[in-house]
Amino acid sequence: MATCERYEEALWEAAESDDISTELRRHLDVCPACREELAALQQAMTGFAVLRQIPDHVPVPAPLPSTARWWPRAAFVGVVVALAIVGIAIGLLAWKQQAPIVKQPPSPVIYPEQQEQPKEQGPAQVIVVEPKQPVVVPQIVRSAVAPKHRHARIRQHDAPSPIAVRHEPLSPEPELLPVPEYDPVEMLISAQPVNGLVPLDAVPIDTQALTAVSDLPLTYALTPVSPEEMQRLLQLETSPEDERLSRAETIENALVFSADPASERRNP
Amino acid sequence: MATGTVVAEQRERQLIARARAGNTAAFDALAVDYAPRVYRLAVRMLGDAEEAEEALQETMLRAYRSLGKFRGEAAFSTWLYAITARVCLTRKRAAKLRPEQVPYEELRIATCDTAEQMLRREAGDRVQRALNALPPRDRLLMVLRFVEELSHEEIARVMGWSVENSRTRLLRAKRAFRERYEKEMTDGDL
Repeated sequence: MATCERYEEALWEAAESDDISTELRRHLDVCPACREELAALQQAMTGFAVLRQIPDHVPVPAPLPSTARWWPRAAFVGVVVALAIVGIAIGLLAWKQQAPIVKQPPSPVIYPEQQEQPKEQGPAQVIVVEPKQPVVVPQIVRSAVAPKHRHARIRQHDAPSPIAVRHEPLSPEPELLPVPEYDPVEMLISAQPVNGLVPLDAVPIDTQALTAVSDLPLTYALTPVSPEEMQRLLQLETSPEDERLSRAETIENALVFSADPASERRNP
Repeated sequence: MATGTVVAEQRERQLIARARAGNTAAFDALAVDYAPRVYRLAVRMLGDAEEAEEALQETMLRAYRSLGKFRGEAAFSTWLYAITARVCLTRKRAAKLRPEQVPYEELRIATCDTAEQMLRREAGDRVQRALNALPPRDRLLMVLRFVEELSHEEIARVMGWSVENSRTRLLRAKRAFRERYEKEMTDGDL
């Protein structure tokens, strides 16, 4: 039986609230289909009322700590996994770094003969050793920067034996080389190596002694000259003026003035 | 009565505030308060006590996780119903292929042997069967309106629709229900 569509909503509301409006009541008086519909809806509402009642057994929601607090556990597990990964990675790295060291053969002893000769001029440590002496303990007498042209001589004279380099004494009693007495005047006059090879520019200069010996500029004194030449230079002091001047010019031309800044200022 | 309602609302507000601050005990109290209604909706929607229980737990879990999104514009019950509705619809969709079986013994109210109560129980069973035959969304609308007794505005909030849209859809659901219910009555008479 078709109900009146116009009163459809009103029928539902009437069934819900048991409150029938006057207009609907008038319609129900004349419409049996809507009356039947209202009865069915009221019955359905009874059923809904039954369903509205809470069921006997209502489960209690699980406490939150066991269900909702999942993130602290997840965070803890994540941290543990991350730490484990980092630990394994560090262990692998350490193992890889240690492995080649274990397999490496012992490092060979490099003797001076096997070492490459220095290609460039640079600071060289001069080790003065008497090769024929039984004592082989190296004695560093002086350190200086040797000019390039003297490298070869230095190497010829002072190439230390492997034993000396390794500081292993061969003789029962190692003896130190006698250190020559330092006499700046004598060294200046002779300008020769006293014991083996002593670079001239390694010799400390006593300027007072130099001025006492001669009136020559400091540049002359620093220049290596033979004793004979030095004697001649000294004799120039008493020679006639012309000869002295000419000789002085000759010597002066042969000398380098760069070592004397004062002379450079005088002769720019 | 009004004073009791105000006190209850005040208590609920305090519990919500504490729960939002991270107090799980406060949320547990809220869950215990609302569990019967959530469970009822789930049972009417899903038609299975066990599944309804699972839906109840899931609803409470989701509610706790998204408690920060609750702004208090709607009632807490409405907000909770919305979560329950979504959970139930998702579960219905997952169990779409399963045959609809309603364990009436479990859904039944405390039984009495009086004739009147027998009639009421039968009416309830008939309505439940008619509801079970409805599409999930129509069933949800009918349960929200006639079991949970939500207003059109509240239904609109729960479903996320406009009030007009909610009215229109509810009217369609009523017609569908009426057809099913008519059929149930005819089958019962036979």
